[in-house]
Amino acid sequence: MGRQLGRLAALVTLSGMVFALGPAPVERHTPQIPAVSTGSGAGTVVVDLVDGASEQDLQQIEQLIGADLDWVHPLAIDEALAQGFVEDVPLALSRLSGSALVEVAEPEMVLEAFELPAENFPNDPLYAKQWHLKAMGAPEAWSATSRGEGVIVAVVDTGVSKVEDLEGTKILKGASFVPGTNSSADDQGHGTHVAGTIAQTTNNGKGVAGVAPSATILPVKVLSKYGFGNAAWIASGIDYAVDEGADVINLSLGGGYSSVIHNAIKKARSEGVIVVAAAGNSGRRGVGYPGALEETIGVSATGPGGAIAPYSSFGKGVDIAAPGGDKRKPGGGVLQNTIDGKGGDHYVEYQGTSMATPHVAGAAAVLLGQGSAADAVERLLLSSARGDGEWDERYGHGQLDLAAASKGEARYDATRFALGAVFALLIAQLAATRRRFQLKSAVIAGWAAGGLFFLDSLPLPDLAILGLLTRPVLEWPALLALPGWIHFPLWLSALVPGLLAFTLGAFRQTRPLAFGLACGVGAHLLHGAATSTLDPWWLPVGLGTVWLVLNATVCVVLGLGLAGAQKLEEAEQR
Amino acid sequence: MSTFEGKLTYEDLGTGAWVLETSDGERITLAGEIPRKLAGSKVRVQGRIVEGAMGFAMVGGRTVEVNSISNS
Repeated sequence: MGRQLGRLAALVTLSGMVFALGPAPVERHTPQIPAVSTGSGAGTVVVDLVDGASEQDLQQIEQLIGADLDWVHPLAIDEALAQGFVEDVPLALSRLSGSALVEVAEPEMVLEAFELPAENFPNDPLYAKQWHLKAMGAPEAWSATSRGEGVIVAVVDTGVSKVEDLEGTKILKGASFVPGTNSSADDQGHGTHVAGTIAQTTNNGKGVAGVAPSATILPVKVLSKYGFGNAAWIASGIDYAVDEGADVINLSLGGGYSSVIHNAIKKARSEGVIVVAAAGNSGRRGVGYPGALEETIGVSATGPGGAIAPYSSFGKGVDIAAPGGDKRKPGGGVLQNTIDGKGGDHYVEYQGTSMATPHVAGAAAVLLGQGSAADAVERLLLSSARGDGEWDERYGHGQLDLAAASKGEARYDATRFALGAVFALLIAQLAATRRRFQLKSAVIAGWAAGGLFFLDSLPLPDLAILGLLTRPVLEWPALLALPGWIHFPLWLSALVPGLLAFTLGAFRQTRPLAFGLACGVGAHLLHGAATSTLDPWWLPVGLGTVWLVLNATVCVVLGLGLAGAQKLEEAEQR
Repeated sequence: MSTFEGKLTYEDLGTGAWVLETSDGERITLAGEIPRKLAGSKVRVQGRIVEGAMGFAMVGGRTVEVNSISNS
């Protein structure tokens, strides 16, 4: 509690400083403009001039309101959007409304950027400008136990450099497949920005946040400093990522069809790796490869309002839409930290389906970190996406909604809890044990199968022990930083319940625990087999399900034995 | 080495992408050092077509690695 109060105080102080000193230093393509109101009527105005407005027209407007304005997109020819700081916003707006050169003028709404985020997490000062994280439901998912712990996400891109706001992010050594480049460091800026969306160091009181801040980044350089690569480099990079244990591969790149890349992606999928790829930036119908492949999750891009971005490719192959930014609106890009090309780094907004893709990769990492298998995560991402339920060529199955996907996972928890409790009640009833034993065991079995998931919604301190209470027993490896264990067939078996049955099960006081665990784990194994949410490794296709059902049966037999022992002891007591 | 002519546009995608629109409507992605001041102008490009190229620009069409570029 003391630590939380401390964080709150720090954040309030920081916010106060921001108000006192002006805006935080966001470096963008456009010149820096003070954005926070300093007087009663001072502030920034955004002016949409008539299409095709010239530099002279802008100067005329500047004279009209007595302030300097800058083009929002200096290189866009038909996009006449300008902004600037004025001493008196209402006066400037009234003067602008009379000008034939102006289509629309409005004050920039940036004060909300400094509102305190809910629950004081994250405390990154520029987080409030990351509309894209809120649009995809990341904050709601952060309140759950996983933020991508133990999940490796390969960023197959221009490389990744450890910029200041990746200081606390776990980044592996990685490799480069670009001839003449030995290091996986970024010499372009694209890959580091993408990595930031996935796992920017979050809640460090600095910069911005990422979707799955506890995930591990595997940098794989396959694009040169000019942003292109060939099929051989990219396929090698994908193979390497799979060999290095990547759970998710992010491909913010595309082009024509390549069978070499297709084979590499098929191999990745067969090893249970989730492959997320950009739909392309043609603004036309026709999704680029590898995004169009059946084996990848193809991602189109949306802007701040949720509408498809004008540059996004669309058509067959789009599986889901995610925030990729629309810089026609001020602050409408995806804001992350990356290298600036001059030896330093900066916080910069980019747009593209390249930026949409890592939002999905990060979401997959969060869900995998909660212990689900790859197939289940893919299904959950698509089925929980916001939409009308019908596939659409622009939005695929809908817009990425990590909050809903996490809730979908919570529904699984609730189902398993009920299943575990019912298992225990039925078996204990069958053995005609006493009511007290039945009730105690049912609660333990429910917890073992589904975890006390409802505790997640309570404002409890961030303690490891609470994580163990809220998650089902089979998912504990993910909480104990051993995520791979959740796939070991011996872990997904009756082994642990069996060992406990012959130890704890021998004593009256601890027998409800052994019995409840056997029933709970059995229920979880059965539920996992039915929903494909458990994925035992190394077993041939189909045999995984047989393994789970067989072990669930052994758990039931163990339960029957323990309930029988309990009944005998109760009869002796009488 | 081949020569291409067309209108050069800067596309604000990712870190930025250069696209050459030729007179027959083809959109070619250019890779290389390109001066910002050339944006919007007619240019002549000498370069090499990169077979099977992929990149983050994803605007469609072929990719040319630029050897030299000048106003046409």
